[in-house]
This record gives sequence, structure tokens and C-alpha cells, in this order.
Amino acid sequence: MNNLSVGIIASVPGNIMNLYRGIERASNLSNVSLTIELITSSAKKDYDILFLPGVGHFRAGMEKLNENGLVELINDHVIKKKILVGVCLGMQLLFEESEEAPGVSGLSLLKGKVIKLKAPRLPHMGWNSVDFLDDFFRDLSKNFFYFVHTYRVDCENDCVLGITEYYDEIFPAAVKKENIIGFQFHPEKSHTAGLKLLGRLFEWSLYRL
Amino acid sequence: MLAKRIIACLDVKDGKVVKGVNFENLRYSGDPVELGIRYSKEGIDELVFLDITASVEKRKTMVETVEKVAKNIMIPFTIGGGIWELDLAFELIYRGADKVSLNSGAVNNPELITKIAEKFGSQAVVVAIDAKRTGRGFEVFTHSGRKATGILLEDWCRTVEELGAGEILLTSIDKDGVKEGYDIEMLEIVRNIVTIPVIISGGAGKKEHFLEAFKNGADAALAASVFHYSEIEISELKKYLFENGVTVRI
Repeated sequence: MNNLSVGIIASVPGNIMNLYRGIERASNLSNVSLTIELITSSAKKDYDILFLPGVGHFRAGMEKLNENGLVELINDHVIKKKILVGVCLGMQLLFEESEEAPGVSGLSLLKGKVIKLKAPRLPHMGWNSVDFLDDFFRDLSKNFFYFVHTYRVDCENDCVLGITEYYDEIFPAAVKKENIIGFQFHPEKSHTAGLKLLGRLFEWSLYRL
Repeated sequence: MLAKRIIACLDVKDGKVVKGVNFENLRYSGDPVELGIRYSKEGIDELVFLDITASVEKRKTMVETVEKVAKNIMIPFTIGGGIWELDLAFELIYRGADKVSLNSGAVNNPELITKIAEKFGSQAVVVAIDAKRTGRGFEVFTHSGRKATGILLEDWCRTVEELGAGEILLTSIDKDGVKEGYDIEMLEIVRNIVTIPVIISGGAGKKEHFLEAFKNGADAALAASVFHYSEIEISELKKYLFENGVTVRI
């Protein structure tokens, strides 16, 4: 099986087309062929990989998912042991709650919360290097990826996939637990490092599915 | 650690790249998207496209440039040059620009900064400031450096940060196109006033100038002609900076 179906949730704020093109380009460079669809409603359909992108406020992100009945779609996808990929805000939404939006429940698929970065200069914006802790991704360590965010994930070590550092604060740049994975940075804006990472993600997906 | 950024600026007129010396004597040197692809392969960290088209077609050419760039280039980019209206700023971001750069438009209507920041986050708003030494000190100029505003650089920097600007793109009119180095005096003044990132612009002629800018607090350094005419190779510049202790993306 070298063919995977990919759905990208398109109802959360952010430039979805950049991610779409990044995924498409990465698949052209890898030996995994993808069929990619944008998802705007909760229409029942199965995907091998579901991308949850998003930028902006935690509250707005959850509101959009709830309004469009997408929480159920995501939960069903996870129950079926398919691959779920959170990107930027999408990664933060995987967790239980955020300091950015007190009282708003996240998807709670991963244990942990989202807290504000301590750095005096925010957002954390630009290229930063990431160290990957998992064997499947480890050789991508020291590559620079493009970040834009003010909040970070605070979770148990067992779901940290990669770490980065900003103003002496070390925090998760990527998370992973079973078939759920998330990236705080934007692979679609990270040039060749981003393409390599997405290619590796597809290989990992094949391995997991 | 967060890398210092090298940014290439492409002045675009009627869909073609030009570069001014002291903002005049425009010369042609290529297609913006092709040049952008070349730079991203060579390791540029970000691109700025400044549309200096003056005709009624301007809006259309800006939107087309943004779409073409977003489709072909996988690094962050900024579009600027005569953004005076909020709906144009919004459209450019919807079409794929990561950031918009405001200059005269922000001086004319500072509220633009806040409105864009509220909708897309402060990182989406770059305020470009062109300043020059005058009898009043460092004074802000608009309209491609032709119009004195009477506003002092220090005051304008404070204001734009308060209004929600995510970055300042600081161009020294005195140094621009001269290739004798960035305006470190101006950089230091701004660095001490704001906490948001400062992109220094105007005056790069050799690798040492970039190192000097980063050692004096610049978060990013922007250049145009030295890259367009291959006077400095981006990969060599990065190597040089790395060897001199600057964190760069290699």
C-alpha cells in the first residue's frame, strides 16, 4: 500500500492552500502517492491521514470545529486508529486546555495544556532548530523550521517528539502519541526541511497503518 | 536557538524586478518569482516583495505576484508597497502572503496596523520605516523617501509597536544604495526603543556589513542589489556568519 488518502480540515483560520501545496509537493518527492481533499463539513468519509491546521486564537479554532461538527469527525478518525496531524494551532487543539482561552475545552486527545511562552519577545517567530527524540525522525534533527506562535504545549515527556529552545525555554516543537502527531512549526513554510519532514511523516503513516 | 534572518528584497514594477539607488535610477533584472525561487534554493530565509507599480493596474499585479509566489515558494514572504487600504491588506494575506508591509499607508492611517494585527496576529504586520538625518534628528519620510513627515523616528517606532506592529523594517535613506554598511547608529536607537524584531535595511555591500548589523542587535538584515547582481552569494554569507558565531539557518 503506497497510496494514502489525505483530508485537510479547512474550516479553521489560516492559509490552508499553502499546506495543501506543501503536502502535494512532498508527496511528489516521495514514493507515497496521495489523494488530497479539503474538508469543510462533517460529511462522513474515511481518510488515512487527517490534517488539522490552523493559526490564530485557541477559542476561535475550537469554535470553528464545534460549529462545523468536525470534533466528531476527528474523534471517529482517532478511534479508527488512523493518522491525525495537528499543525501550529492545530497541534495545540489536540490538548486539554489553553491559557489563551480559559474555560474552553480542547480536543483532549492528548494529555497536557497550552501555556504562554516566557520569552520577553513574542511571538516566537522565525527559523529555529529542532531536535527529534524518536528513532523514526531523529536524523532530521538540527534542521531549521519556521515557527510563528506565542503559546506552547506543556505535556508529559512520553508524547514529546521534538524540542526547540527560545530564550532559554525548552519546549515541544513536535508531539506524538500512538497515531496522533503534531508540529508547532509550519512544515509548509520550512522549505526543504519541511518537505523532508512531510515525506517522513507519510512513511511513518504507512508504517503505522 | 532562533536564527538571525537574511532577507532578500525584490522591488517589483509592472511585474518585473527593479532596484533603486537612493530610490531612483530603476534598473531591470528579472522575474520576481524566478528570482525568489533562486534565492530560496540558495538559502534565503525570507523574501520581501515591494510593489512600486504606480498605474491603476497596481492592485491586480500585487495580487497576481502574491498568488504566484505562494504557489511556487515554500518560505515566508512579505508583500508591500503602497498598501493604503485594509481590504487590500486582507486580500493579500488571504491569497497567501505571510505578512504585509505598511509604510506611507500606516503614517496616513495608523489604525491599519491595529486592524490587521487583530485579525491575523501581529506577526502579519511589518511596518516599514524610511528615515533620514535632518535638522530635527532622525526623521520619518514617506512616498519612497520623497516626503518629510515631521515625525521623529523614535516617536513613530514607539507608536507602531503600541498599535500592534509585529516587526519594523528600518531603512536608512542616507545609506540606501551606497553599499558602505547599514546605519548602525539608527539601528541602535530603534533597538533600544522597541522589543519587536527589527529588520535593518539599506547599505549592505559586503558580508562584514551583515555581521556588524547582527552584532548590534538586528534580528534580520535585508538587502537587494548585492544579491541580484550576485555580489554576495547567500550560501557563502551564511557560512561566514556561522563561522563568526551568528546563529543562522544552514
